[in-house]
Amino acid sequence: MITASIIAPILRVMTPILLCALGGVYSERSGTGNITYEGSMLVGTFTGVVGSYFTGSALVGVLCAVAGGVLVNLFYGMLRIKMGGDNVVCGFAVNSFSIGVTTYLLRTIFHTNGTLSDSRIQGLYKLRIPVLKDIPIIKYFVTNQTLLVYFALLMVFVTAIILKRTKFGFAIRACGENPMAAATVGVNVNRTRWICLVITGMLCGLGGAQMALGNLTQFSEDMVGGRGFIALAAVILSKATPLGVLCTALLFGFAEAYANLLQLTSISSYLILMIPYAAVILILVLQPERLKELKRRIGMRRKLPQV
Amino acid sequence: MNFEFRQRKIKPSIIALSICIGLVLGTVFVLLGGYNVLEVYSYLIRGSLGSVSALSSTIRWTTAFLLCGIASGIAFKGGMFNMGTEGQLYMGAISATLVGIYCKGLPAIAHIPLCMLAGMVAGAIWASIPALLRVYWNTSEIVVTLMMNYIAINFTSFLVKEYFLTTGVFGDSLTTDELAATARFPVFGGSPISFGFILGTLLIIAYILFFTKSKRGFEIKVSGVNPDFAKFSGISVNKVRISVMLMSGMVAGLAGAAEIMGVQGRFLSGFSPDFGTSGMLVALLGNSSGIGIYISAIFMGILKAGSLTLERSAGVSRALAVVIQALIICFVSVKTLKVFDFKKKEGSGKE
Repeated sequence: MITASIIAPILRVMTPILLCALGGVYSERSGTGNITYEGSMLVGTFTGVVGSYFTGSALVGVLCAVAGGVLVNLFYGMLRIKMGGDNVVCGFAVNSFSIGVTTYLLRTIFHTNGTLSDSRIQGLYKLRIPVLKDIPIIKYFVTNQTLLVYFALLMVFVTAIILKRTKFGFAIRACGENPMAAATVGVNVNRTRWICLVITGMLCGLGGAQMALGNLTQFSEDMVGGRGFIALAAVILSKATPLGVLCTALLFGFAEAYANLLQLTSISSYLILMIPYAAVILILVLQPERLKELKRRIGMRRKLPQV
Repeated sequence: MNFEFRQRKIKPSIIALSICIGLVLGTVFVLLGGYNVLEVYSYLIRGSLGSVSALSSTIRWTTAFLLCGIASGIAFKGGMFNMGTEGQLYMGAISATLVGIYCKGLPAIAHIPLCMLAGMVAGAIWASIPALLRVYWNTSEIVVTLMMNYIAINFTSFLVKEYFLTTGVFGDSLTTDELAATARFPVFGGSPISFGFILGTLLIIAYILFFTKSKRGFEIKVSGVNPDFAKFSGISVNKVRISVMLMSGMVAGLAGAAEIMGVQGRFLSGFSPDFGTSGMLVALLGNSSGIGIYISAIFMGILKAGSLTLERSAGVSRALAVVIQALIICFVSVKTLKVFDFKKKEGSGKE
């Protein structure tokens, strides 16, 4: 059932989640408690499609998507950092706002409800390298993928290096772990957090671009469909480490790609659509630490009667 | 990683101010869309309060928001952010529908409570999973409940499509058979909708009494505001968290049952226009107090009914209501608005 050809769809569906979760790493590590990835991604998909539609250039579309993601995060930053709002409530409201505003603007600008798909929307450039596309397994990695896929994979290592090896990375981690101490040694906590939010917005916007201009070339209401929250789960699961995020994103990508494959079989498509979401819960439950804790608990119970 | 949710006291003046800000920013969006502001607002009001049919539409939406708002409010009081009311609502709706269709021959007086009970039990079961995971496994209830929403929506669609699809004229839409007549809400004052509203009103009274008069309500409040303090004063916070989620799920399931029994008459896959989120907005806006939830549910009902009329007659997207709601909530939880809180300033001046 599973062949090597599943690599290509895994990469494709993993990329938005990975980009978004990498953005989340910055937010999370700097202690902003951001949960607006869903909204940033959704606005990113919308502005990306709008940019591409009106200019006919995919590059402008991507830039617009980035701008959209950044705008959402700036709005969140204003509420959270400037005005001291509650992170869960504000984040939730911002997500809800994003759904509302994209639906509203879709109707206002394009006079359609539901889905916008038009030949004027220019999709992203897809890689086709003449020689490599004939090599058995490697061809799945390099054929028909957008450049954002490689950018996402590259960003995993860039993020790891930034967090581990640069002064800025130290500042980010300090702000997240102990903002008071960071402020004492002269780190501008709020400025660092603002920068992190902007980076999050950029990466979430790119994730949106991959969804709306790479995997599909259309926008539909609420097209992100919880992937932002899956990214949030990936961030929580991996304790906001770039490599951990890559692993969890791979797992979710696999679940989704496998679900897409199963849709060709006779199993009810509704059951299959549940798979990625169920996978998130399953992975949350089956975290290695939790299992260790469980083992310890069971071990304690066994020992107790002897005492 | 701090995704803990704590209920915070919000003053009515701040809520009023946020509503003003939300409406002003909403107006900006109306202007951006190139619509006539006066026309838009007059449609909003006429469509919600202007006629008898408009009023019944408002009551119809208010009922759903009220029940969902209570569901979210209970969870907020106990310090849990139940984002899964939508999923619990779907599970409640489907089980109430099935009981309503297949338990034939009962008198209405037994059938209606049975359907509601089925909805409540299903909602509670669906809510128990994230609650147990949160308490014994320490997984974020926010993420789990969110994921379970998507699972519930797909799961109910699957059930309807594979097992309970109606045979008849409905074409592509996934619906079940119609409920037995004995399972529908009785008609009060011209429409069956008002029964749900009365139900919601009674629940609100019960909600207020529960949180002001009863010991358990007090325990829930304390563990929501300060879990550590609650632990030291001998309250089992874990138990409170589970019970809060169960109650929240029950009411959400009841909301689903009421929607089916009062309005829809049959289970239609994907019938809810995100009642769960609206319920959370209601509870946040109402600061989870009984009267607050009641008033904000009516406010949201007016906004929703008005925006539907607005879309039908002026072609403005109904999502405008969502934009305004979300903007209001954005500002409700914000601290700096308290600068404008005149009463507080006067008070501190006297000291």
